[in-house]
Amino acid sequence: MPTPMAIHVQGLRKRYAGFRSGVDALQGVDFDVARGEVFGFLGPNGAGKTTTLRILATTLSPTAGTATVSGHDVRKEPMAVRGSVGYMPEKSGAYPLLTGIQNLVYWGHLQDMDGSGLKDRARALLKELGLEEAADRKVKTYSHGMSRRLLMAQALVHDPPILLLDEPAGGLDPQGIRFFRDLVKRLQGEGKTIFLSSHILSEVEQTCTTVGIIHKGKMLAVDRMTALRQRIGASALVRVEVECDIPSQPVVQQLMAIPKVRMVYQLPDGIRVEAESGADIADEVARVLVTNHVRLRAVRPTEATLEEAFMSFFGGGPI
Amino acid sequence: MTGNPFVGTARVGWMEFWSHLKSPRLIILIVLFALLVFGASYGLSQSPTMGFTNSAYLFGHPAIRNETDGTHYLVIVWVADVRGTPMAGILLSLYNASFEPYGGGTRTLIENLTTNSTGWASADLGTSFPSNTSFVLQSESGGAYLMGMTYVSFDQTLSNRTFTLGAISTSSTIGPTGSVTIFYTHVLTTTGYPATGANVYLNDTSEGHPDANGFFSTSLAPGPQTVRITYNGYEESYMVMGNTNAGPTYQNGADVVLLTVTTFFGLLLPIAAIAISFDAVARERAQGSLEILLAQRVRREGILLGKFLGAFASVALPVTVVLLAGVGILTAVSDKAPTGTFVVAVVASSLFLVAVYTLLMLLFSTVAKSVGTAVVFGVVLWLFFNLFFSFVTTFVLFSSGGSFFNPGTYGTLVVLQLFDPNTLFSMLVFLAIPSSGGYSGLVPIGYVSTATVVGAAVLWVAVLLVLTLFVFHKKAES
Ligand SMILES: Nc1ncnc2c1ncn2[C@@H]1O[C@H](COP(=O)(O)OP(=O)(O)OP(=O)(O)O)[C@@H](O)[C@H]1O
Ligand SMILES: [Mg+2]
Repeated sequence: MPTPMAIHVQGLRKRYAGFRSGVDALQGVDFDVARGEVFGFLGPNGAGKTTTLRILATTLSPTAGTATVSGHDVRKEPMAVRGSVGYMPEKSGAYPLLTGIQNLVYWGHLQDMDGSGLKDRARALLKELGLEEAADRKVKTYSHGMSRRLLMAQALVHDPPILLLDEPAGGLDPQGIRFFRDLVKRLQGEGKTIFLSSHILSEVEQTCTTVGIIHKGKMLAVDRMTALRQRIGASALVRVEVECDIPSQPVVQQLMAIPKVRMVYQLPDGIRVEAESGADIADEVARVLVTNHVRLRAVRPTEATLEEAFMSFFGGGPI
Repeated sequence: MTGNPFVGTARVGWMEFWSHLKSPRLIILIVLFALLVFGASYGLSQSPTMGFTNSAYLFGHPAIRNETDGTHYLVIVWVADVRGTPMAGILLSLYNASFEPYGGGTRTLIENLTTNSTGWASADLGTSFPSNTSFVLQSESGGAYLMGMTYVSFDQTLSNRTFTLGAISTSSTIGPTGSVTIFYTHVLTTTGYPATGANVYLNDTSEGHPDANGFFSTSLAPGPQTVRITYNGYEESYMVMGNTNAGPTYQNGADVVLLTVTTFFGLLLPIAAIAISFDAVARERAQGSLEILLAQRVRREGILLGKFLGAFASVALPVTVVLLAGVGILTAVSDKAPTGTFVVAVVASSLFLVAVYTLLMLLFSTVAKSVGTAVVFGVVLWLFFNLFFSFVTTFVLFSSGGSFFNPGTYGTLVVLQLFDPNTLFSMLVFLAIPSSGGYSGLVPIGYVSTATVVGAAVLWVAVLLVLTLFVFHKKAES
């Protein structure tokens, strides 16, 4: 009996053994992905996204914990897992000396598909992914974007119910990003479960139904997109940008003295004041400046984007 | 759930095979291999200066023929190489020679002769019996075909015989690989036609009849033996000597040529195998395709076995074709085919060498972190077995007080050589060559048996295959 969950991960750990010291890339990761969901797996570089995806795709074995995909344990039934997922790795991996169609047919063969129908399907897929023209060209002549599309076709060739996409839009131009976003939406419409990783929130913001945030090998949050937006937003800083003459040092000190204010920055044409979340400081900032005879041109409380909020969520870590 | 660990093996193997067949490096190496095999097969089959001596010989016979105008006396000449291949266009001079009792003498040129396309030439001396005269036949073609002279004399006893012998000769070569002695003769009827019905016996064992040209040859076992030739009730016997001091005597001269051709295989075949498989895994890893491959419905064992079979076949197939073509050239040039079982053994041993190096390289390719490291591994591997291994084992043998003449340490050395695929290859070849000597070249009798050597070869491949499957299973993902 298949479990209701498309992907079930519990206590997942992965240690890369090193010569002197290893790396604990995953330190007890838990999450579930329901069928038909689009799950955005978010985290900064080095968080452990690729590691998790590789374990789910059975190309990497976990050190501890369990991961089941479509009800099959990745360790005990890797072949069943492989048959039910399509995996698009982070790096391009097609055979450069083969054509796009040859690559696709080879992978199809390795998914137990057979000759006649496979060729037609491969061609149709390449067409769907905008590679119709390039289908009979050697892959070494492909651009980065074309290679990504070919890898996507590879993940889809055997029509798997679950897709594991590792930064599908990584390195793509805005048009390419939009293309993948639309594709994901279409695939979701077809009832597929999609697990995709990214380190850019805006990339998944519009497509994902659920988001999991991983940082340094641990899950920080797993939630519905809408709920998460509120949570992240709530933890963000409040900012006020003021267009004005540059205030003197005593004025800056008065600004810093406003309750909940954290920092005052100098901008080319004014200042920016940051305060803890929930604080409403715009009026107070304006009052201080006016009473100190600083010429004001504009005061703008700016709402942090989710992107920025996401950054501050990680404590300003490298994104 | 299907339990077959090798699903997809054929697909992976076919892809590997197919992609190598078009690769320039395979083509370059196979062309090089073919040039060496063809060149050696051709050169060693005919050149008298290398390995097997195969220079031309002059066979001269007196003959008496009754023709319409009376009885004619003729000198019949046939020129052929040691294998009985006729040599055309050889210039000869026929002299009348008279000898002084105490040395010296005079020669008078009678006529010049040139051999025809089947190696024959003859001079009609007329109708009067040329008694008490010797005729000297001398080759005027110098250089590599210098075959000296031969005497032909007529005497009254000729009429009592049924045949004459052009020569009773042996030709031996001695080398590190052993020796071969070939005995040959040329038998004509007294009327000057090939005595194809004559019987040749070696120590009373029938060895067959002369060929259509009257030529007969065979290999000799070491030691003295008696040759007896009979024809129409008349017989002659001679003592001949098989070479005794250089190991085995191979039963077939063509085998010796093939054996010599294989001497550079230990250098070249590993390079071909290494060049094909050094990046079989490392390159897939570097370009990222391994990650996709591992995610397909193929087990890791299946991938590796496929890679092995594909890489192996892409070298094995052209190598086999080249080898068989080389045997064809050898046969065509020397007019004598190597023994069938020996040809099969040479091909099988060569494929053993290819299999071992393919597996070793797949193993290194799996653990190598980059394609560059894999190349270095390949070079080291080649040097190790071609240079290091024998050097080190011999050094250890001598520095620990052993010697080649001490049976114990020598035996140890022989057994140690089983751990070197290159020497093992040579042993396999030497064991397969039909020989009638006391020992077989590289593999001294009493130290290792044929079963041990063949078993060691099978173990090499089996153990390496299991080890490589295991390592690939463990290390493919890193
Ligand atoms: N093969 C490996 N050997 C050793 N350490 C590794 C290996 N692969 C990843 N790591 C380490 O594991 C950690 C997680 O890496 P991972 O590739 O999973 O991150 P990621 O979230 O995918 O990052 P990115 O956004 O840059 O792709 C990192 O610290 C990385 O250095
Ligand atoms: Mg990654």
